[in-house]
Amino acid sequence: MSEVKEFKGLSKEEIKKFEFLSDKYADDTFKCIRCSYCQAKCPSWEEFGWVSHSARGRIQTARGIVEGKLRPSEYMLRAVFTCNMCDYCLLKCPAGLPTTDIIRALKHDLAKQGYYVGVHKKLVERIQKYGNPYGEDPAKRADWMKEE
Amino acid sequence: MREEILRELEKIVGEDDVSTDPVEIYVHSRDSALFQGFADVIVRPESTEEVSQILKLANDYKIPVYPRGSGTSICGGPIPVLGGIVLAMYKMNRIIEFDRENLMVTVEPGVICDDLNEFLAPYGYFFPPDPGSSNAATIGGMVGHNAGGMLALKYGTTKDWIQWLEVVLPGGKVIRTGSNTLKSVSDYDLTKLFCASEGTLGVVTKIGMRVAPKPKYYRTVLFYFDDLRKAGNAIVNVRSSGVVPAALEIIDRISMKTAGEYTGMDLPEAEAMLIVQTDGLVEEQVQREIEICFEAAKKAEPIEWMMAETEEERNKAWAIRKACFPALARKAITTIIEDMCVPITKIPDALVEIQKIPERVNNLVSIGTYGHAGDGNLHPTFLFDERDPEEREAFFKATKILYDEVVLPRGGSITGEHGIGIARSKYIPKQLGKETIELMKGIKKVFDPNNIMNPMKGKPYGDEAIIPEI
Ligand SMILES: Cc1cc2nc3c(=O)[nH]c(=O)nc-3n(C[C@H](O)[C@H](O)[C@H](O)COP(=O)(O)OP(=O)(O)OC[C@H]3O[C@@H](n4cnc5c(N)ncnc54)[C@H](O)[C@@H]3O)c2cc1C
Ligand code: SF4
Ligand code: SF4
Repeated sequence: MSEVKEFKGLSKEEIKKFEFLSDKYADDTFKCIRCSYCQAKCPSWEEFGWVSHSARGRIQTARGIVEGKLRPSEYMLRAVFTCNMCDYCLLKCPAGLPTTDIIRALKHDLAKQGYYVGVHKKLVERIQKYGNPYGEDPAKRADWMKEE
Repeated sequence: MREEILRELEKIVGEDDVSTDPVEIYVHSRDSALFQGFADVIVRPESTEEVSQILKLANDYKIPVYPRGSGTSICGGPIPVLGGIVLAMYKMNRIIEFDRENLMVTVEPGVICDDLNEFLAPYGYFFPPDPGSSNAATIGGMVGHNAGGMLALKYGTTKDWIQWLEVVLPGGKVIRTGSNTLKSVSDYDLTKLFCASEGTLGVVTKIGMRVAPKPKYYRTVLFYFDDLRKAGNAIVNVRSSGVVPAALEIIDRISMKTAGEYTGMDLPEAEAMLIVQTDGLVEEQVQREIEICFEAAKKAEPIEWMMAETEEERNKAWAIRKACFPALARKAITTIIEDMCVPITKIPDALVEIQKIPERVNNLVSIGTYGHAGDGNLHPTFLFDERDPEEREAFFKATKILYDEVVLPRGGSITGEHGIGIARSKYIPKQLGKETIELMKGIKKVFDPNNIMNPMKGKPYGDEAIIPEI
C-alpha cells in the first residue's frame, strides 16, 4: 500500500560515503541526457515496468544520491540490485556513459554502507558468523571426507 | 496528497500500479530538458476505463495530472510542476489492430515508435514520422508534441498520419475525434488540435493511424561547401527543382568536426555539409530524382561531393549526420538540443548568426548546429555545465539571443517539433501575440475548466507559465 512519503536527501557528509560513485562517476551522472535510448529493452524494465528499475532510472538514482536529493531505501535497493549487468544500456547510450560501471559503483557504495537486499544480507550474516555463505558449522567442514 | 486519494487510485488501478516512493518520484521529475518538478504519485493505468476513472477523481479533487510517455521531451513537457499525478502510460502499449487493406493501424499510446515499425516491416509498411528518439519515444508522446524527423519534408509529421483519436477528458468523459476514412470534415479537426497539445487538453488512449508502403530504393548524395551561403543556395535550388527529396539535411562546421572526430572519418575542411536522399518503389524514378537534385545543388558550387552508389556508401554518408548528436553530447556535462525553424531562404544567415552567439556569452556555452534544411528546422545544440551558475545563466542568455535576434526577426518559429513545455513558454507571446494566447487559454478552458491537465505549461499560458527550479 502506498503512503505519502517524506522526501529527504543526503547531507554532504553522507554523500561522501558514496565514495566510488562520487569520486569516479559524479560527472557522468549529470551527463545523462535522459534520452531513454537505454530503456526500451532493458530486461529489468521489461520485467518490472517502473523507470526506477530501468537503466535510465538507475543512472538518475545515482545522480539523485550525488546531488543530495535521494537517500537509500529498501525500494532503492530493489531498483538498483535488480540490474543484471547485461550491458545493453552500455551499448545504447549515445552520451557514451559507462552505465554499468556507474551502476556497479552504486551497488558497491550501498553494500559497503550495509545496505543490501535480503538475500545478500543473509550471505553477509552467514559469512560473518560461519566464515562461509552456506551457514554451515566450520567444524564440520571436513565431515564429507570421513564418510568416504 | 491525502491518503484517501491514494486509496482511491489503488482501487482503480491496483496497489502495484501506484507508487509514492521518493526514488520513483525522483526518476519521473525530469525529461531531457533542464527543469525539475516532483509529483505526489506515479500511476500506471492499463485501460481507457482506468484512465477515465482517474481523470474523474482528479477532476473532483482538482488534482493536476501529467500524461507521460518515455519522458524524452526536451522542453519540460511532462514535468510535474505543481505536484499531483504522473499518468505513466507504460502499460498501455498494445498494437491493437493492423488493417492491411485500409492501410490503418490502431495502437495504444505507450507503443514505442521503433516497435511499431518493427511490427510493420514484415508486411512492407512503415509509420513515417521518425524522430531521432524513435527507439524510445512513444506514439502518445509523439502525438503530444507532434514529433517529426528527417523524413518530414516528404512524409510530414505525426499529425499527417493520425486519422482518429480516442481521448479521455478531465471529468472522465471519453471522446473520439476524426474518422477511419481518409476524408472527413465532420469535426473542427479535433484530431489535429490534440496533436501538439502537450497533454494540456486530455489523455490520448487510442490512436488510429495510416501507414505507408516502405520504400524499396534509396539514393543519397553528399555535398561539402566552403561557404554557408552557397549551401543555402543549394537548399533553395533543390527545393525548387520539382523533386521532393525524402531528406535534405545540413550540418555546420562545428558539428561536422566533432562528428568527424567521433567517427574517425576524414572529412574535407568545409563550412557546411548537405545530405540529399530520394526514395521510392520504382528504381528508375528514385535514380532520376537524385540526378535532378544533384544538378540543382551543383549549381551552388560545392567544393566536393559524393554520390553514394552502394548501401555501404549510403551508410557512410549518413554516419556523420547520425553522429552529430552523440558526438556533441560527449563533449560537455549538459547537452540541450534547441528546435528553431526559419524559412529555408534564411538558413545560411541564421547559421552565421548562431555561430556568433557563444562569443556574446563569453564563450561559456558552445553550439553545434545540424538539422532538417529542407523544412528550415535547425537543432542548435548547446553544450555547457548546468552545475555552474554562470554557465547556466549564459545558456539562458544564449537561447534568448537565439529566439529574439535570430529566429523571430526572420519570421521563424521558436519550435518546429520539440514543443513549448516550460522551456519556450516565455517566447510564445513574441511569436504569436497575446490575443492568440488568450484564444488558446479559452480552448483550454472548454476542455479542462479546472485546469488539471498538465497545468501551467507554456502552450495555453505563454509567459504566465510556471518555470520551476533546475
Ligand atoms: C536525443 C533526442 C532526440 C530527439 N529527436 C527528436 C526528433 O528528431 N524529432 C522530434 O520531433 N522530437 C525529438 N525528440 C523529442 C522527443 O523525443 C519527442 O517529442 C517524443 O515524441 C516524445 O515522446 P515521449 O514518449 O518521450 O513523450 P514524453 O516526453 O513523455 O511526453 C511528451 C508530451 O506529450 C504528452 N503526452 C505523452 N503521452 C500522452 C498521452 N497519452 N496523452 C496526452 N498527452 C501525452 C506529455 O504530457 C508531454 O507534454 C528528441 C529527444 C531526444 C532526447
Ligand atoms: S545492465 Fe542493468 S540497467 Fe543496463 S540494460 Fe542490463 S539490466 Fe538494464
Ligand atoms: S542512454 Fe545514456 S544518456 Fe540516455 S538515458 Fe540512458 S544513460 Fe542516460
